[in-house]
Amino acid sequence: MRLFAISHRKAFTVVEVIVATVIATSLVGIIYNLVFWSFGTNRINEEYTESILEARKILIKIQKELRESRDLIFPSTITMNEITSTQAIVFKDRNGVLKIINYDKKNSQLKLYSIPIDDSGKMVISNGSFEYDLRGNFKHNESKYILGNNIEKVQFTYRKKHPRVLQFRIQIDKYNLVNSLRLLNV
Amino acid sequence: MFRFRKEGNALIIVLVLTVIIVPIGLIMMQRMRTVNHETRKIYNSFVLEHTARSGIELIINKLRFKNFSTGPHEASISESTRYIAYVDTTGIGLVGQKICHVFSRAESDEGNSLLMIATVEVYPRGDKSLVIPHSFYIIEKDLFIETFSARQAILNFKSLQNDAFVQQLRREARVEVKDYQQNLRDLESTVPLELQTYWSTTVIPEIITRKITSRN
Repeated sequence: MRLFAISHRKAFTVVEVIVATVIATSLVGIIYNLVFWSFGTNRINEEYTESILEARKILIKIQKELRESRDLIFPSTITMNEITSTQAIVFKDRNGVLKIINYDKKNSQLKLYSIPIDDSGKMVISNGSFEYDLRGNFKHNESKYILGNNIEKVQFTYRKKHPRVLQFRIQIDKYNLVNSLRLLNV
Repeated sequence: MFRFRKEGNALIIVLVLTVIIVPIGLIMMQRMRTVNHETRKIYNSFVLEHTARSGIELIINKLRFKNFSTGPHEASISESTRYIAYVDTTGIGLVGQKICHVFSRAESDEGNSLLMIATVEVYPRGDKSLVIPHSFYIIEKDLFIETFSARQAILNFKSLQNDAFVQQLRREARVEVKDYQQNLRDLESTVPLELQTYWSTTVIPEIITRKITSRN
């Protein structure tokens, strides 16, 4: 019985198998890394784009509200040259309505409150905005109550020195976006 | 042609793998480039919008100081973006009110441009003006604003705004300072919790100071 007979049939050599294995392993490794990196980059790009677009929408909403401002009340503009608030901003709009943009940290939301003044001088706080429509009717608009969701940080910085600019920065999913507004009637 | 033999096939294996893998890699690279391109496009439009807005803000600030110079007002915002802005003061307004149309075109070195048109109301107030913008339009077409007809472009004017504004000032002026202060104090428990600590110490004094010292 020949237990250890040497076969003379042609087959892959050990060297060929090793070389092929090394090349295949390297290629698979490279491809795996490429796929992983590519998906990772795509995901980051998509996240970034979504966050920035969302942040931009919110900043435009804030900007729209602040354009109507007649007086900036909080943070105080009287005492210091540079004032920062990470919580809220209070202003009076062109219609004399006191407005509060407040950051609700618990729900990660930016909310708008309005305090209009009626003919008898009474003031009541409401969610959303009060504004005049095209027919001159003064109406409550609750759809403006939540200005933005998933906000991690908010910062309002007011620079009293020229140019008089209110800068607002918001952070969504670790991405920051800054916008600024020249205060017209403050 | 490649014929499968029982030895020396390592090269063939590598070639086959390469033929499969390279196209996959190229497709992925292409997809990534598309995503990057989209991201850059969005970012560029944001920069252009910001630039055009800066032009409008500058003009509005000039109007505030009663400077009605028609322009062109030009400035660079960064190395690659600039704006050119004009003011059209021929808008029709009510008595005591002036309507101005502000055109601001942002341009970048890459050849992109964006036009922003703002309509603002200007009211005289002492040595300055009270400026209230009420509409902004963004046009992403390359228009020559030098020949743009303002009156035909925008007549979205809300004529009742002026009346509402004056009515509101009268309404506020009728309320006594003492009553106003008390009303604000009564609101303290209803304002957002985070703001309650500042309400009586900062917010109310600021509002009252303004009511006493200025127009409202």
